[in-house]
Amino acid sequence: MAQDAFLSGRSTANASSHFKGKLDNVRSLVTILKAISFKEKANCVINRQGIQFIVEESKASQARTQIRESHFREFLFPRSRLGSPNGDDSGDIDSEICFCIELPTLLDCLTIFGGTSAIPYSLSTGGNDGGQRGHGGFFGASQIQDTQTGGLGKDRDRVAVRVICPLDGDHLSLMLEERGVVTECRLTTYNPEALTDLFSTFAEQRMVSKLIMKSDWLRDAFSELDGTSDTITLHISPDAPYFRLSASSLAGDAQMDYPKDTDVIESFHCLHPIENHYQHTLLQSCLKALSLSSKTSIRVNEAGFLSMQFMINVNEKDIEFVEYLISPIADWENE
Amino acid sequence: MDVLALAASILLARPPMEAILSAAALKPFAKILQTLNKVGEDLYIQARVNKLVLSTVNASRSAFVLVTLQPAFFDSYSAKRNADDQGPIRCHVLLKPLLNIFRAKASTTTIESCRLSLPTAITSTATDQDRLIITLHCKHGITKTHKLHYAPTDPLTALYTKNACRNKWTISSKLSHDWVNCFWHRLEEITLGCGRDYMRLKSFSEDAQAEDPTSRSLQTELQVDTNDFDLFSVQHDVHLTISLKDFKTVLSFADAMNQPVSAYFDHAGSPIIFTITQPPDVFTADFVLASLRPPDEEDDDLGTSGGASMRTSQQAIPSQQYPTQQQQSHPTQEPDADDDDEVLPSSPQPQRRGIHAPSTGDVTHVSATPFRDEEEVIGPTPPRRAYE
Repeated sequence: MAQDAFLSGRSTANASSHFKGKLDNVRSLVTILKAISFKEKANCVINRQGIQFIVEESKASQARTQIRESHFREFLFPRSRLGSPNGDDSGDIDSEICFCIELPTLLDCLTIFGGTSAIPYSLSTGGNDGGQRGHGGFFGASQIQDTQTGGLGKDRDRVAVRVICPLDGDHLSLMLEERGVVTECRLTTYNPEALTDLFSTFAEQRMVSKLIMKSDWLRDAFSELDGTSDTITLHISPDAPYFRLSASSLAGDAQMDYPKDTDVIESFHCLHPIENHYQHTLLQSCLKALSLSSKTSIRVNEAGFLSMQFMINVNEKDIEFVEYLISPIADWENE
Repeated sequence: MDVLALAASILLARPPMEAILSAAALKPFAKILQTLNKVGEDLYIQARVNKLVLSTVNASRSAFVLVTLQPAFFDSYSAKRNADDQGPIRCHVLLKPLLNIFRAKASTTTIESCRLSLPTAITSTATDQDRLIITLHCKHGITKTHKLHYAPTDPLTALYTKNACRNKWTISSKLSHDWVNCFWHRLEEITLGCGRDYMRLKSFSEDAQAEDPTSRSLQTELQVDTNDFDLFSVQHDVHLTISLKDFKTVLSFADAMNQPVSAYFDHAGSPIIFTITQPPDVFTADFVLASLRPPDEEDDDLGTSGGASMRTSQQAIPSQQYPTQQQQSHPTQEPDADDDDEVLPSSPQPQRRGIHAPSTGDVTHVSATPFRDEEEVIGPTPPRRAYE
């Protein structure tokens, strides 16, 4: 594409000191950003593995997602750190660009051409759960999607994006291209926010239970729980009722039991029964990611920390993960 | 004591009310709840021995819906009288959380059966007392249990007799469902004009009564061919003004259930009753909507002319809230006092005659005290503007 040459021509100007990445379709980036956009600001880390975004909520929960280096069409991380153009390789293994960015603004820029439909890919392909949901709106949506992506139309509505960022993370440049129309956006960045390292804390403790379930069942469960309930209780045990979600609210109590070895729960491991309580508001922040995803992996460690990993099909072949880590309500008995 | 309780629990092991809904019945059941939710906030439940009665009333008490679910609606239905033999079990729950359970898009497709039960103190543990228990058995062995708090209450019923109404018509929901589509979406009231050989729907606004023609807003009128009706029996000209929103609720419910809608009415100012029934004996839904009393008739009724417009009176409204009106309207209150005993208690919209019992004919239900106290019922209703 002629426009591509134009884009690369611009960006090669000072190649050595800038990170450059190119995605054929901006949709994957938009999808994962939407999944974590429950807060205004996100920390962004660019390193050799890819681009990572982290959002934190009241120091009690975090969401993390990344686009791996392999999913980029081009991924050029400068070999040397700023100030040592011909430095040794060992020095820049850990080098990374770190900054904080406003998520709504970033999303606005990335969707400047529109066209990035809100329908997640996993749903638009239809029937990911044996056709149980294959009715009404979803069917209609899948037909539209099929015609849009079918045949030659496939590339037509695709928006490519080139991400350029200097090593000091001073600003973020985005160049979006759709059918020869190019938009260049330059976003101001902020100093990265100091985040608690919940993810490594989580990994330190022994994992007590792990299960993988279909996302739409979990989403239905959350939507059926009354919005007025403050806390949600997760009970996982090696024997019946296996996996139980419960909540009490002003209107009453709700309780949902999911047996293992069904189509809904694909894998189930549990060392011993555990029961933990989580703030409803913290769990609610993951609803967006949950509704975009096709499968959810739920893990709970010894300390009661809950990790939910959402598998999101961002396009025909790529899968991205969004991980939420939620801390339990400590000292539940005294509440 | 413990032995006695145990013996009693064995005897009464079956909950006083238990109803099981099949997957096929869930959709209409959810639709019924949705429709009730469009009118009121509370669901009044009466578990009678031979039927389950659900009802609700709106905040201004101008619309009342009563849905009777016959045992044929359920896979199984059983109810017995209260332990202390006080008649059928009566309680009320909030509609919104109840509806939320059935609203989830997938729930109607993944639920295999649903069990509703009302346990009593004897048959249940302490935590299950005063709860309406809804157990959803879903595919893949998933069980969802919702326990909603309920409050025991006296039944809420309106006084009306369909058979005593002189005018009635029945029309297929296929023809009636788009009647209201052409009306302005923010229109509040609509006038149903019926005569021996015509039926008209006309937009109604208070502005139209004003002398100044420039203040009149858009007028819409829809003429319906009486041949479209399955049954059309109107004895004299009647012009009933009812809430458009409630009328829409009726028509969309009939459309969703794919059953004809019947209307029973007498004269302006008396309620109009819409009935949607699924034969044979599955369910019956009665919508009792108060109609606006025409200003001229109002004068006749009261025998006063000047005071009529101020007859908003708010008899039941605490005097500190509307002291002026209370005083002004005082002389004109008396004629209405008798009326009020029959209408739904303390109808706050005196412009509407409320849900009114005809003096003759057999009355299907008796009125009762509402669960809430009067002040709470009346409080949120703004005083209705009177015709000047």
